[in-house]
Amino acid sequence: MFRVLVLGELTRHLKSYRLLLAVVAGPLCMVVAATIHQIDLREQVSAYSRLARSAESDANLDWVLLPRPYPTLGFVSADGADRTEATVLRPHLAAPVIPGVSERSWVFVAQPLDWAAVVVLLYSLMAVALTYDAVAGEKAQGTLRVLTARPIGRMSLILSKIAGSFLVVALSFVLGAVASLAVVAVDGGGSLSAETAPNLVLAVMLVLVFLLFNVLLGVAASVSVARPAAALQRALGAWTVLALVVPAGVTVAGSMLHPLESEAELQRNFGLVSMEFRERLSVSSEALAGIVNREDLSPAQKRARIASLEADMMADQEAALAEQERALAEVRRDYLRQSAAQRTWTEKFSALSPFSLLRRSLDRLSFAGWSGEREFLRQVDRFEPTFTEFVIDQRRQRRDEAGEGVAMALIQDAEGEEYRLRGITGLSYAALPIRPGEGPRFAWRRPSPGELVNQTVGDVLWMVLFVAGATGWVARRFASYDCR
Amino acid sequence: MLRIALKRCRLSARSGWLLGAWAVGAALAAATVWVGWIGYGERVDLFEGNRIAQRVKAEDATVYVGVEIGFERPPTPLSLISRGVGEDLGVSARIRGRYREPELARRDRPRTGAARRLNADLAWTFALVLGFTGVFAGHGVINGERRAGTLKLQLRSGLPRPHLLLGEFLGGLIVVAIPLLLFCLGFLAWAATAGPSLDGREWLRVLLFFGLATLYGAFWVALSLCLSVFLRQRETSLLVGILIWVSSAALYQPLAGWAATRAAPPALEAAAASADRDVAARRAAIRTRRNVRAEQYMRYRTLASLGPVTAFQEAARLVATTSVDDHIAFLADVDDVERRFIAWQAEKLERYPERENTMHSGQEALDIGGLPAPEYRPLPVEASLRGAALPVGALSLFTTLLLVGGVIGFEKLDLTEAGV
Repeated sequence: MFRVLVLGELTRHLKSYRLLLAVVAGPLCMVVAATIHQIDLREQVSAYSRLARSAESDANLDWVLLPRPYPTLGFVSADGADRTEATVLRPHLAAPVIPGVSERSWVFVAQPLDWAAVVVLLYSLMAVALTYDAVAGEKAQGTLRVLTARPIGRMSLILSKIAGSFLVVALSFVLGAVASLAVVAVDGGGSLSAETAPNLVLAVMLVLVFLLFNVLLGVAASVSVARPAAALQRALGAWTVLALVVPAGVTVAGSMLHPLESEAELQRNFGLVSMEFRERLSVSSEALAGIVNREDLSPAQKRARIASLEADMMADQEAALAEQERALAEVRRDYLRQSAAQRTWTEKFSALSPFSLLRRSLDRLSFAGWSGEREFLRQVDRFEPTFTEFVIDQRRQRRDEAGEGVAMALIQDAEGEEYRLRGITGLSYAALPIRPGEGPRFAWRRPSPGELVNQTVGDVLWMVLFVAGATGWVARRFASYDCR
Repeated sequence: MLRIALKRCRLSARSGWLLGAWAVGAALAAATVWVGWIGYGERVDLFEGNRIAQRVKAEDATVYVGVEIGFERPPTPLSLISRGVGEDLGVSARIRGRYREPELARRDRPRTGAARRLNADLAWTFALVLGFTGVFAGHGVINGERRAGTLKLQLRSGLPRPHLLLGEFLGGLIVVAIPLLLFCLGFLAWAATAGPSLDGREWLRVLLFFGLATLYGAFWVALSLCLSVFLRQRETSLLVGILIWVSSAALYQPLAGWAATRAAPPALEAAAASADRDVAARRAAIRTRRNVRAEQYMRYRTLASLGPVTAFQEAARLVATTSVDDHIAFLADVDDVERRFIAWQAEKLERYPERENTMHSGQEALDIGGLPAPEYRPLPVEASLRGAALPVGALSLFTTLLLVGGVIGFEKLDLTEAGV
C-alpha cells in the first residue's frame, strides 16, 4: 500500500509543470556550473604555473611565493578558492599578499556558480515547490478525505508523500550530478581521481539529506495550514529565513562579536613598529662626518675607523632588522588570529541553518572556504619562521662574503678625499635573488580523505538531526490534522 | 482606476505578510546602512591618515628615489547605496614615476572580516526586499480574484479590463512605494542630521537611487501581475515569480560575468609579465591587464542590463559613482599625474643629479617644490545618467512589455465557468 501511495505521489508530480522544472532546470544549471569550472580551471592552472615559474627564477630575499594547488573540486564549491591559491610571504611587509594567480578569469562581481549555489538556491526551492500542496492541496481538492478513509495509517500516508517528492528531487539532483561529472571527466584536468572520490560521495550524500530536509520544510508548511496558498507563503517565509536571513545574520553577528582591527589601525601598528626601529636602522652620517672632519687622522686611519664604525653599525642594524621582522610578523599574526577567531565563530554557528551547514560541508569537501584557507594559513605559519631565519642567515653570509650593503652616506674631507659609510636597509637586500636550489621549500599538504571525513561526520549528524526534528514535527502535526 | 488601486492597498494592508515583509525589509535596510556607515567612517580615517603620511614622507625624503605621490579617491558616502566595482578594482594609487609603475590598492574596503563577503549596500538589500515584496504584492491579484469569483463582479460594473489591470498595478506600486518613500525620508533625515554630509550633487544622486528603486519595484509588481493573468493558480504565480527572482539574482549574474569574460579573455600573459623585473615590460603588462579588466566590466554591464536584478544594481553603481566608469576616469587621472611626476623627476634630477639615491652628510632638505598634486574629479551627474540609460531603459522597457502583455492576456481571459 505504501508503495502505491508513493507511486500516486509521483503521478501527481508527473501531471505538474513542476516536474519539468525539476528535470530540466536543476541538471542544466549543474552542467553549466561544471562547464564554467573546467574553463576556469584551465586558465587558473595556466596562470598558476606561469607565476610559479616566475617565482622560481625571480624570488629574492624580499618575498617568496607559496603556492597552493587550485582546489580540484571547485565545481562542488568554489567559495574562497581564489583567496587560498597562493600567498606571498614578505618578511618586511604587511599581511600575506595574494598575488596575480588569484585573479579570477571572470569578472568578480559575479559569485561563482557551483553545486553549492545550485543546490542551496534552486534545488531547495524546487523541493518546496513540489511539496507545499502535498496535504493542503489534497484537502482543498477534497481528495484528502478519500485518502484518509483508506485502511492506512496517517504516518504511512505522510511518509509516502515525503518519499514520493523526495524521489523526484533526488533523481533530478543525481541526474545533474552525473551529467556535470561527465562534463568534468570528458574534459579532464585532474578533478576526478581516486583521491577525490570519497569527497564526492560524501558531498552527494549530504546534498541528498539536505534535499530531504527541504521536502520536509514544504510538507511542514502544508500540514500547518488548510489552504495551499497559505502553505506556500509559509514555506517561502521559512525558506527566506533559513536560506538568506540566518546565514547573513550569523556572518554579521560574527563580525560584531569578534571585531577586527580596522585597516587604519593595522597600518598604524605597522607604522609604530617601523618607527621604533627607524633610529637604529638609520645610517649615522654625523658619526661619519665626525671621523672625516678630524684633521689629526690620516686617510688610512680614517678608513680604518670608518670600517670599524661600519661593522658595529651593521651588526646593530642587522639585529634591529631581525627584531623588526619578528615584531611585524607578530602584528600580522595578531590580525590573522582575530580574523581566524571571527571566521571560526561564523563557521561554527553556520550550523544554525541547514543551508549554511551544507555550504560549510561542501566547502570542506572541496578544500575551499574558511576550512581550506585556515589549513593553508596554518601551513604558511609553520613555514614562515624557517623562511625568516633563512633570510637573516643569508644576509649575514652575503655581507661576510662580499661586504654587501648600500653606501648610505657619502662625504668628502678638506682634501677632496671621498668616504662612504655603508648600511643595511630593507632596500639593500630587496634585489638579491635567492640562489637556485637554496632556501626552505614550501610543500602544500592537502588534508587526507580520512581527515576530511572526520570533519564532515559532525555535519552529517547535524543534518540528520534537522531531518529527524522536521520529520517528528510533521508526523505529530499531521496526526491531529483536520482532513475535512 | 484609482478606486481599484486604493482597494488593492486596503487589501494588502490588511494582510499580515505585507507588514511583516516590510518590517523585515526595513530592519535589513537599516542594518545595511549601519554596517555601511561604520565602514565609511573607517575609510575616512584611513584616507586622512594616508594623506598625512604621504605628505610627511615626501617632506622627509632625502633622495629622489624615495619621493612618491599617493593618490586616493576620497571615500564617498554614496558607497552606502552601492559599494560597486569601482571600490573593488582599487581606489588608491602609489605613483613612483620613472622608478616603478603605479600600484593600485583597494583601500576603500572596510575590514569587517566575515562581513566583507556580504555585499552590504542598499542596492543589494533593495534588490532582495523589493523583489520579494513586488512579487508578493501582485501574485494573486487576477487569478485569486478569478477563483474567488470577485473578478466578474468588478467587471460587471462596466470597468474596462485594461483599467482594472492598470489600477491593480498602481495599487501594487503604491504598496511597494509607500514604505520605500518612508525609508527614503528617514534616510534623508538621518543624512541631514547625524549621517554623512552630502553636497548638492550627492543629494540628487540619493534621490535618483530611490527613484530607481521604485522603478525596480514596479518591474516586479508588473511581472507578478502578468503571471497572475497567465497562470491559473495564485500559488503557481508566486512560485514562478520567486524562481524568476532567484534565477535573475543568483544564476544570471555569474552567467553574465562568465560570458563577458569569455568575450574579452583574461590577460594571463600580462599577469605573468607583471612579475617581470623590467619596469617598462611590467608597466605595459599592468596597463594591458587594466584595459582587459575594464573591457570585461563594460561587457558585463551590457549583459547585466538584460536581467532585472543586475540592471538595477548596475544602474545603482552608476548613480553612486562606484561604477567601472568612475574607476576608468580615476585611472586616467592616475596616468596624468604619473606623466607630470615623471617630468618633475626629470627636471629635478637634471638640477640635482647626485641626490637621486645617495644621501650626503650635511646636505640641505630635498627640493620638492612643484611636486604635482593629484586632484580627484568625480564624474558629473550627467555622465552617470548617460551610463545608466541602458540598464534603466531596459528595466523600463521590460516593465512596459510586461504590462502590455498583461493587458493583452487579460483582454483575452476567459471568465466563463469553463474558463475558471
